Amino acid sequence: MFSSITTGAVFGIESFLMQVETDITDGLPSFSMVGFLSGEVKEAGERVRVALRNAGAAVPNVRITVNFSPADIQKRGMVVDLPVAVGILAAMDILPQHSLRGILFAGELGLNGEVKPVRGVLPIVRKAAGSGITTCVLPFANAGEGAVIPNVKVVGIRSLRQVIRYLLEPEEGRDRLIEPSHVDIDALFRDAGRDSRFDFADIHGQDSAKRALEVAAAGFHNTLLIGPPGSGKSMLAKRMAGIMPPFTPEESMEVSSIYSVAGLLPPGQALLTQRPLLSPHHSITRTALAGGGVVPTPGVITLADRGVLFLDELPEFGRENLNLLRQPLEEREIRISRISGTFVYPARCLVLAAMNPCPCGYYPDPQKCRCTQAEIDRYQSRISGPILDRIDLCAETPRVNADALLRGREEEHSAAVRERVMKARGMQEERFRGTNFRYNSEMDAAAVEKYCPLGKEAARLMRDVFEKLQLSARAYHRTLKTARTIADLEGTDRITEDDLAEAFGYRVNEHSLRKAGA
Amino acid sequence: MDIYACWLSQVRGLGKATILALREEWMTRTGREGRDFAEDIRKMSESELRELCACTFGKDAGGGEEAETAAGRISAADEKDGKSGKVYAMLMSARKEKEGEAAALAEAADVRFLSFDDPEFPDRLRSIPRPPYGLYVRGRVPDSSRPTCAVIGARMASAYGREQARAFGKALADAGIPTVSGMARGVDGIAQRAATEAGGCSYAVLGCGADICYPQENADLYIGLLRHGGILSEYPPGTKAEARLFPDRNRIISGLSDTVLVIEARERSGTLITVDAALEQGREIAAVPGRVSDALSCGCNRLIRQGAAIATCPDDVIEMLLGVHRRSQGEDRTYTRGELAAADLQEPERTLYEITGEKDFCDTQYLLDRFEEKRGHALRGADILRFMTMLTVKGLVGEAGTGIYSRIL
Repeated sequence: MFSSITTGAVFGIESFLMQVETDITDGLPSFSMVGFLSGEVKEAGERVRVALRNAGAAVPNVRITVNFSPADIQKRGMVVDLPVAVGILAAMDILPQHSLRGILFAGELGLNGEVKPVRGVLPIVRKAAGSGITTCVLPFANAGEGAVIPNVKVVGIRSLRQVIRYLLEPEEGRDRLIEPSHVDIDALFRDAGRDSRFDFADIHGQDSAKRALEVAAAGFHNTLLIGPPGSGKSMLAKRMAGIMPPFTPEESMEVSSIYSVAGLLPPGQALLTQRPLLSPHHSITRTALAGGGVVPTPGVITLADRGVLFLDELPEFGRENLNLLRQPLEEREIRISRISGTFVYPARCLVLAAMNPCPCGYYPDPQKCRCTQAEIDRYQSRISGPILDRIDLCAETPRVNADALLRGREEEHSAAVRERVMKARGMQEERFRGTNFRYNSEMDAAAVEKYCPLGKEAARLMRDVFEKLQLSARAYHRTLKTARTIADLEGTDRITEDDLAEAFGYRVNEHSLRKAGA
Repeated sequence: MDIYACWLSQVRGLGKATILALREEWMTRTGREGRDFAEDIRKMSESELRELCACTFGKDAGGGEEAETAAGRISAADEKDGKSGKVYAMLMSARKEKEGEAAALAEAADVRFLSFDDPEFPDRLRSIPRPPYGLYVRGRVPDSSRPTCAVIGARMASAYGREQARAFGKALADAGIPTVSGMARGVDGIAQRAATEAGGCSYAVLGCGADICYPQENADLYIGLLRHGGILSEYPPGTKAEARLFPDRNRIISGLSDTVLVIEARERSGTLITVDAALEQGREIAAVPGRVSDALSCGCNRLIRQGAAIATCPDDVIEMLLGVHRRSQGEDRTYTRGELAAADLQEPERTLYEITGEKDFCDTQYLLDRFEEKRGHALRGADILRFMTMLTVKGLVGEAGTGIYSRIL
């Protein structure tokens, strides 16, 4: 007897559908699995055989051949237990063939027949929905994840027995047996982004750094915070996601897919509703940062997609690690080439970096800083120019004195800031309709030319500052992009002198320390 | 506005030297302050006025009155003892005019009149030979306590001259030095335009009424000067520009300045009239050198040969000005370059600049906190960078690190 089952798998973060063909014939008893499988995938055979027996469907001594199609994609690091088990049951004629039509199976099996969660359910179900599949039978723990995809019935099951009972039921009665999973997406997003644990209002003072983050959030600009230890850089960074606009369902779906593939969706949560904020320690390896491995898995820059990648103590990350970020920050995706193919992961994260001005952290306070100029230079030079080039905003987080902490002034809440940010985002959406850009930070030189016209006064200021501060052409574009965002926050079409002056205040001042020391 | 002084300055046929001579005499006779002089002339009895005129011009009439005005020429042609009678007659007929009419006309043209005795009248002008009796002003007048530079040059300037006018005008403005010139075509206008565009103060002295924009093509500059400085004229509103009025105007330009900078001038040039006046007034001269074969640089090069300072860059002029100013004002009233440039600052930049003087390095938090203490209201986080960038561009503060500022001394 022969059967064919649909299942899905992920390759990189792309998902594809796979047919599991099972054939049972008389002959020397054997269990062979073919179709470009790696060792760990073949182990499914043993698990399935035991699980089936424990579920009450012992496999007779026959010759079983399982083929995975398409055969040209290498199957690595994927779990195919449930589809194989169902395939065998169908081939054994325990399950009627017609009962499997239009159904996709995914899940791992325990030896006792329990169905365990697998990775990548979200992208698989998404793919299935577009390929004529009407029902997805998934591990109970993954059901919520699958249920966010519309137009597909998602059934969450806990054991192999349950699957069998479900499939034996005539179609009309199935919903009564196991109620399809349902997720109210609107409700998910309604409460999204209200993380009261991290509010801007918790931070006293730091007005200019807060403003810098507001600009960064509005235009999605990479930002560097410089300040002495204990001035609140990490505190500010933790609150960054809270002032960014909440996820739109589409964005959430994209990012959640990545998390689904990585198996990092929090248990019981169908979709990410908060923008991710990842703060890797500076001892992170290159692979963990950029993604990779024999079976390429997404790195933190991909996991921070459409969110914030917070690099605290930037110079400690080391040149190698930082240089790894160059290409992804530019192209907003990362390509990982392996012999089995090239994997493209998105990397549209906002990099928020923080560092001390010098090794001891107190430069240029002559009373406290004990660093020599050479030490400071060495510290600074760990950040290569090309990385600084990709940072649009640079802001200082000064030490806050006791007065500011004690004054207890009412500070602005994240929600109010977010409101302004969203208005600015609205202006960008309007502006970039029909183009490839979404945010001001993504504009190329031609777009800057087109969307950032300067008035007479602003142009004059631009010229003056360039003469005085001897800026590069790249700095010119970066400043204009930042100024564009500031103007958006003000709600004006034209970039004024004031906007430009503020934008200059955020420029990355590469040589400042050296100059001051000279 | 002193309506009587305004009236007196416009009495037909009466020149400024005549008026100032009468004032001198009146002050010694009455022992009163000069500021009541004009009113008294209008109100004193006829006999008193006749006596004053006789005493002033009786024996020694006509001193310094040569060819002042059309009326002056006539009076010079008259017999000497006729002078006092003439002046008396002119004053008497003018006293029949309505009180305050001249002042009202000026006011209607948005022009203020500052008499010689007005506290606002520029100090520098009081001490020049043949000072004007008063000035008609739109906008402000130059602050006599600040080093001021006249920038003058050819009307038909070469490309080189234009470029230098622009560079010097802007650099002087950036350094916080007010410029004075004639708003003429060529060098004058270009330098002044550069100065106002850089946000500096600039003052134009016109050879026509202060309410008239001459030349017409500098209308934008005229408006810019109203905002960034002032328009000054010795002549009542409505006076048409006439060639014969210009030499006197030049004398005021140099009189208002510590140093006169000549950008480009021909061998025989109107610009040199200003230079002569400046020398007569004891002002320093600086000239921008040019190629020896250029006709337009001949005047400048000759000035240099005769001992004028060589202005090869704006810094030359600025240093020289500060030196001149220190000499004229005494050591305690001197400026450092930073203070000089800071003098033009508006709030809140002015306060922020003051705060930067409090310690070596100021971070934004310190600036924000101190600003609130000093001014009683807080600056927004968004604004602080904006203002500090402006101060940086003006060369008043430098950035020691990101967001850390220190004053440039």
